[in-house]
Amino acid sequence: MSPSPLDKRIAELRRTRSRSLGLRLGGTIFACFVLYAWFSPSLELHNLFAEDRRENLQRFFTVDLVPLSVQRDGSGLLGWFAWALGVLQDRALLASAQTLGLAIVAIVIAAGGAAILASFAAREDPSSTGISSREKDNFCEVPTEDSQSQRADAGACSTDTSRKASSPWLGRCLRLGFGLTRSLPEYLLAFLMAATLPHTAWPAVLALALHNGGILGRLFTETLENVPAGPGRSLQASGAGPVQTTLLAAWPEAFTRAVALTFYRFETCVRDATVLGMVGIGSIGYLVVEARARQDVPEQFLLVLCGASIVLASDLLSRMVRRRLR
Amino acid sequence: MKHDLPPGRGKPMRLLALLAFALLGVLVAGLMGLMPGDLIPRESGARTAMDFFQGALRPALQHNNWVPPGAPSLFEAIAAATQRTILIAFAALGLALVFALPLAFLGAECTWKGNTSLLARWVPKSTRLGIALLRSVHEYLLALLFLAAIGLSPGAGVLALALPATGILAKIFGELLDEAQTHPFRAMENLGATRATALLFGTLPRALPDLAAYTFYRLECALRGSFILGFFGFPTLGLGLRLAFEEGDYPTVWTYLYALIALMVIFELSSAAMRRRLRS
Repeated sequence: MSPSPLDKRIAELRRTRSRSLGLRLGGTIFACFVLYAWFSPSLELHNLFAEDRRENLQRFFTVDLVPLSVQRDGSGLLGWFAWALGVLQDRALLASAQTLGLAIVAIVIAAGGAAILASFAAREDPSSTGISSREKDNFCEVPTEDSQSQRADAGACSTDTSRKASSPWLGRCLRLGFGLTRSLPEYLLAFLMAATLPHTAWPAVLALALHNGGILGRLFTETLENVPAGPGRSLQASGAGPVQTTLLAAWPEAFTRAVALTFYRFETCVRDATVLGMVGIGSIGYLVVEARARQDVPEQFLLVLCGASIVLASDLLSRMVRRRLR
Repeated sequence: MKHDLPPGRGKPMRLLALLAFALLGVLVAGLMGLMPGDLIPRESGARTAMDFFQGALRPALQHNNWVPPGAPSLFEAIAAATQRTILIAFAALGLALVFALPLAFLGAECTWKGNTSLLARWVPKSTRLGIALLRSVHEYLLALLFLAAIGLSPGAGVLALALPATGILAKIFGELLDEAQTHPFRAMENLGATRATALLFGTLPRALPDLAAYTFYRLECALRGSFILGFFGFPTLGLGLRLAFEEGDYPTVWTYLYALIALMVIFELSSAAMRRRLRS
């Protein structure tokens, strides 16, 4: 029985379908690791569903999570409110404000430093760097600003090797530096700095600023490289030097996007600031660790809720600003 | 020529905004008692820093402190901790992926486009709210909570990393699905395929390379998170680093740091290679 033309056509389409080696290889390796992690005895993950874990969990929700004062006098919802209000007034609100403060100082330092360094790191003549037209289109009609920037920070559009490496060593060093500061966990940086600096909030601020400065530096560099070349060229044609071109042509074009990127990082900054207090600085994280030392689970839980609410609030703020900018 | 320029939306306002931004930073720093003078380490701090950086030149090759006889050598300990660090990251991301993909579809515009039922109005909104909630608690705070709730086990660490990862993956996946090419989806729908089939076999394959690229990036983040979990007692690389640091054993700290750096570099290189291959 000979195959019908339709079958032939289907077989041909099947043969010529696009297949991505990277996707298959990556997916297979990834799946192997995940399956090994879950089902090999090395992590004992099955133990998550063991009887004693379940008992722990039950005790946590029914006993541990109830504040002592409520347990003592058996007061219901009102007791809960009184307790929560007490903790909030006493320290949690101040710690939330400090956490926000950490994030604000860090983002100001990060954005300022990144803006200055990115001006030097950007390749000078954007028209000659061979940016693919697809990338340029991407930049011009940015569909959703935030996802674009979040993925840009993933390095999805930066690792392209087609660009001519026409940069002087300074730019190359700066870009390497951006990558390095980005890849170190900021918690580790804060932990190391806390041991050497006097006891202030600086270690947390510096760690946050370094990490986010690296990311913003890279994003700003990309933004500067991708601005339309026209204004810069006409300035050059009338005799402007590199400083004037960057300051008067590239930055004005890149400004809005840079602000959007800064706000996008701010949200992440607040999220990270909630834990950086754990290295010993007054912020939510510090209080959580302290409450943990006192084995005060309900307070720990309340503090985590505080952290979540300031993160959500800054998320909202950053989203509003970016929508307005678009 | 003036009309050729982009509409100038109050350029002086920009300068003012920049100034206000810088002032805000200085003001908040002042309120928090952050003085520039405190940026310089005091004498004891400077000595610690010196000792610390000297450790960089001579990382420990064996245990510097007393260990019980029969304990694994430093390299064996580091290798085991590295293995656990990697496995926790993969376990967490695998778990996150399983939940993130359905959530992404529920929250994406393309799933509900043209559908005017009550369901279509509320499901995407509430899904996105849920995603934001998942993301809002930092993984280390979750780790501490889970320590209290289910006790110290790698599983608690995996869950702590997986929950926020689910949120962020679902958010980005949803946006990627919305941006994916719609031709295959529309063609299939016109041929009478159901919405679910069209999404699954028309839209998803288009978006898959982007989804995979983002997942690889998240893997790096999960790896960093898994390392830090050691600071809270989970058996990853961070645990050894913290213990050595608290004993002032900086050469050993540097051995752990070098292990971390090597791990990060290897991961970043291989994930960059993978991403390049995905795009072509």
